[in-house]
Amino acid sequence: MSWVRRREIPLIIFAVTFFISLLQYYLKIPFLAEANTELSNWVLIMSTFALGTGLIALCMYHGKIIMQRRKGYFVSIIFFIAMVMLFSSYYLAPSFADYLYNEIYTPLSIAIICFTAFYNYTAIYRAFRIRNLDAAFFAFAAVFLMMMYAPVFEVVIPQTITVANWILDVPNMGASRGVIIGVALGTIAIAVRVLLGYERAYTG
Amino acid sequence: MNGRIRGDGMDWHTFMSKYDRQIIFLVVLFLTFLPAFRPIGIPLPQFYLTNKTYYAIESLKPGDLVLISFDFTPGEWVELGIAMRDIMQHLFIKRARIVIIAFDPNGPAIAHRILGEIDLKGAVYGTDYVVLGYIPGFETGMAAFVSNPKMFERDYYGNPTVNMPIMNAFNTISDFKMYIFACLTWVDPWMRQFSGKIETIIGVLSSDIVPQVMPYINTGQLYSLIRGSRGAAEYEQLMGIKGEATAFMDAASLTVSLGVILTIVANYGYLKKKLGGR
Repeated sequence: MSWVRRREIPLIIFAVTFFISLLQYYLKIPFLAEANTELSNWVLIMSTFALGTGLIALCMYHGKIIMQRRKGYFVSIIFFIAMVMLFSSYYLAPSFADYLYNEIYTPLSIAIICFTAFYNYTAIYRAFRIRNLDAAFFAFAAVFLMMMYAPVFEVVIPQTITVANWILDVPNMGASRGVIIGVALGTIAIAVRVLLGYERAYTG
Repeated sequence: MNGRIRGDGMDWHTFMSKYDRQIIFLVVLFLTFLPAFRPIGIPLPQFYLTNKTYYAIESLKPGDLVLISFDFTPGEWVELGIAMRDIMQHLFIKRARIVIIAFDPNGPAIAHRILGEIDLKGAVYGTDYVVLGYIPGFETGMAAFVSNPKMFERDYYGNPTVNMPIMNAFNTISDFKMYIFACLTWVDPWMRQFSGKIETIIGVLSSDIVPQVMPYINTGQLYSLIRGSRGAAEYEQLMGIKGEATAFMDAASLTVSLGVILTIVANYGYLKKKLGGR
């Protein structure tokens, strides 16, 4: 097997970076802190490159659709026009870029998010049916939390806020803490698995 | 009324089950637009954490350093952007010095928009406030910024930061008096990287994420929060202004009432069907 394909190399890279990041947190050794900062900077640089590769991938994807005149190819043309317009206006006419961002991109983004509100209300009608005890708890909590966020209920029935706060502070708090601890333990478990070589998905 | 609403004998529950989506869409649309034409002016009780946020900012002294990160996209403007605009306005009124960063690529543009909309109270760019720009890498970016807040050599607009007076006002992350972040997702990465390093951390969060964030409030890791547009409306009330968020509250009350009514209607119809129409 070629040395570049060996599984030990990614594992060694992971172990070294992992221990530098871990130990610098607990030990006040200047070298470790500097090495960790340097590693963080590398990740930032790689993340910036990832934005570039993402752009290339998008262009390739939409370019292919236009070349093959696939269904909806005009949307891909709009993508290229929008990208070139926004990109060039940032350098040539910044005020026009602001206009594009604030008056076109922002309202469109808000409109897309708003669509979900309509579906949410349909989902409430369909999903909040009390078919069993679990669904009853779910519907009970959801109704009181909804009431909590609408000022009208707090004014008309002040007790709703007491019940909603109890749901937030007692059952919700316990469950949320459980989730937080569970996620933390799961992360540690994955790190140990990677260190021991059981988790190899990241090596490709 | 025997519950029959159509000549072919279809009762209201069957009708609702068949056309629920169309009816609900129309009702939501109507309830959203109604307050725009006829404001109801429903009173707005204050959430204790909104008060806590307001008085934390109110207690800032002129020149105190505040770090702000805009970590959301323009689609979340209504839920988070309005609250951030109100908070930024309050910070400029208090004459705090503001350093703006972002862990979302859209963040600097949103900050730029807000700075163009609020009264800067004579604040000077580079001296009283600065937009440093986007830090890629998300949580790694946060860790990098926490370990070296002076990592930016140029700001969002391409100006060198080395001669900016505000950049000489801090050396470490602990030099910031307050950190305010706005995000739509779970706050774990922000808590992991910033908690314990800055005295006061405030989150401007989506209403639906608040229940999951409450453990951090109770432990004090997160000092306080603003819960979405409702929190923004409460904040506007505390500031004594009637802004965009206040205008949304009537529509919010009406549509959430619809949610409660729909839950009752759905269960009434379901139980009636289950019990055989009795």
